[in-house]
Amino acid sequence: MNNNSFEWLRLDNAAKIFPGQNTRSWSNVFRVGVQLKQEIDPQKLEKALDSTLKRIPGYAVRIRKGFFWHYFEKNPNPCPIMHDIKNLCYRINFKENNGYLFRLYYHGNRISVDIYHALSDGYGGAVFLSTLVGEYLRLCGFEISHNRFVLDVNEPPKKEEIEDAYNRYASSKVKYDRKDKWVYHSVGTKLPRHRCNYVIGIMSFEQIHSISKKYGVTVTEFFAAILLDIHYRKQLREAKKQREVSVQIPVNLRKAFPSETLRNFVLCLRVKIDPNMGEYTFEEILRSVSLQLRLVNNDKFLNSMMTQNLKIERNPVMKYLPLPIKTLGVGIGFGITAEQTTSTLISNLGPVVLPPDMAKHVERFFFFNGPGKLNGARCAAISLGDELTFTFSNCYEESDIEREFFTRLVKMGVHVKIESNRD
Amino acid sequence: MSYCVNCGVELDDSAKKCALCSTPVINPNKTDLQNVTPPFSEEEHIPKEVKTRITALAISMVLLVPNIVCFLINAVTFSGSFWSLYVNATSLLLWVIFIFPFITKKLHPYVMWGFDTVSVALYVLFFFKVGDETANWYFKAALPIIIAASLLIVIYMLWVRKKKRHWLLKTIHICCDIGIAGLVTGLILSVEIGLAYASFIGLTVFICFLSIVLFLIYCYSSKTLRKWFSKRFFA
Repeated sequence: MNNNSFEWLRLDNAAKIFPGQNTRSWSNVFRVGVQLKQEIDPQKLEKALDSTLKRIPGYAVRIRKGFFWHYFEKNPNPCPIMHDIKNLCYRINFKENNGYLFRLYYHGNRISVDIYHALSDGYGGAVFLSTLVGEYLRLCGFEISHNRFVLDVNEPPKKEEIEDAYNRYASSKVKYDRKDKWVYHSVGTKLPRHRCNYVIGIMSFEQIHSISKKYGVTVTEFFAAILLDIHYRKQLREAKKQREVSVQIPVNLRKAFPSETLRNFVLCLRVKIDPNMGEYTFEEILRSVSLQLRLVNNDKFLNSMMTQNLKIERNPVMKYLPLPIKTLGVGIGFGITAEQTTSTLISNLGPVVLPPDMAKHVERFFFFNGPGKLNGARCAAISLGDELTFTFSNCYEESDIEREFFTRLVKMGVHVKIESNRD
Repeated sequence: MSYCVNCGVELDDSAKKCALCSTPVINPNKTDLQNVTPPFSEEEHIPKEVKTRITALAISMVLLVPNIVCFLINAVTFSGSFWSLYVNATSLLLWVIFIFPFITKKLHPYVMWGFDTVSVALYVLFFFKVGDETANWYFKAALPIIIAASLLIVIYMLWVRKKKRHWLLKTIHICCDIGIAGLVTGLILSVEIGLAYASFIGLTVFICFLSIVLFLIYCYSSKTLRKWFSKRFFA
């Protein structure tokens, strides 16, 4: 397949919902960033971006309205590169940024990409950024090899990389329809529009891994349990009526299904505890999180969830409803129910594996969720070698959840370094 | 490197205070903060607000087309009647209430409410003028009722905006307003128009709502009663 083999693309199953959720002040955006060991040269970065967009054409698109659905078409405009900003992950407007649905920034020795979720998921974003950085370092005169994160820009793009993997793999006879209650939210003083507080905790992956291993859980389960515990105890302290506390965990489906797609291929799982059932210790929460996750995080269960999501999309009424009505319906529905079923979010992208000749030029990776509509603490984690970065995106002024989270890790003996955009 | 004495975390070299607890960083060994690049850019980019005014103007234009068409058809085909004026007047009223707020720069809510009251009054006046002029019901009854209703709503808005009120107090206020509106409407209709039964209906509405208000006031003031209610009617 060559670069010109697609003129337009359908949005994948997960992406279809995002344009309807867009408002004047909010979009579903996330950021993937990288810190190199050298200052960034914007001219070389621009050249590297051109080659990367040819290799990953799923990013060189703009969004358009069809009669029934949105679609992507090739973007003939050049993609701008900007100096980084403090209020990252602000909303995406389809007419700004020359129509591109991602924004590329540089600052000091950091390169960051704010990506609209309709384009791709965190994994796709990490591959895009790694390929871009690999090409940038090559232009700086270094020999860089390739792997599944750092693609060869001289190769033509693969058809599998821009496929809608949901469509390909959803084949279950059972359609799992989950029903969730509205849960507790830790709210505070809302920050002004387009602003969000970010706190990054940099720690050793080995230290975290050994602690979670001691408890017999994975790193994601360990983080999710701490977050649940913090929210559970906060609710006990402040609220009269006790509601369920839940944490949303996006799961990379590529681990269960052998897809090479660089577009969306995730499903969100929810684990929860109900304070009305009695008092929980941290160990009990850990065990509950671990069991709940392991029950559903397998190919059969995930397949049934995917099939259920596709069923909605394939429903003839939904399919042939004109786009403005669909958008309005999604907008109103999301306005009422947005994040009501989740108290917090932890998106663990896992380890990024770079070729050794590239890894020596890279300090660490960052992964940020955009600001929430209702959730104060939206967390993201990513690691490179022994460097694990854990990020909080908070749309409220208060920083009590971040503080509690990191101080708990410090008490467990983990060395944490903090960086933030707070004044 | 500096550590927060409160949280125990290491802080970035450019940090002046801890991002988690705002404890200031005092490190005598660290004097040259100027040359340290902060991890986040200091630059802030606040995107331009999407102008609702343009959308509102576009909707106004779209609304104008059927109105002009109706007017022309009426003028050319039906010389005896003015039915298109009803369409035009209704469109104008809807435009003032729903689209005008998006075209003007932010007006004070009371000024906006004034516009709405005047437009409703003019809308009713239009029907009065086009219809039966001899009855004189507009100045005697319709206008005073519109003004009274508008005033009651303004009083409620003033009261609610002043400070946060308990939901029970808000219900009491709304019940009071409905009772007063019923009484005033009944009295105006009976005195000015001569509808004898109107004052009776108005008085009945007033007494009903007055009893509800008295009961709610008692509920609001008595903790014991409120507890009894929550015990008996829990769901």
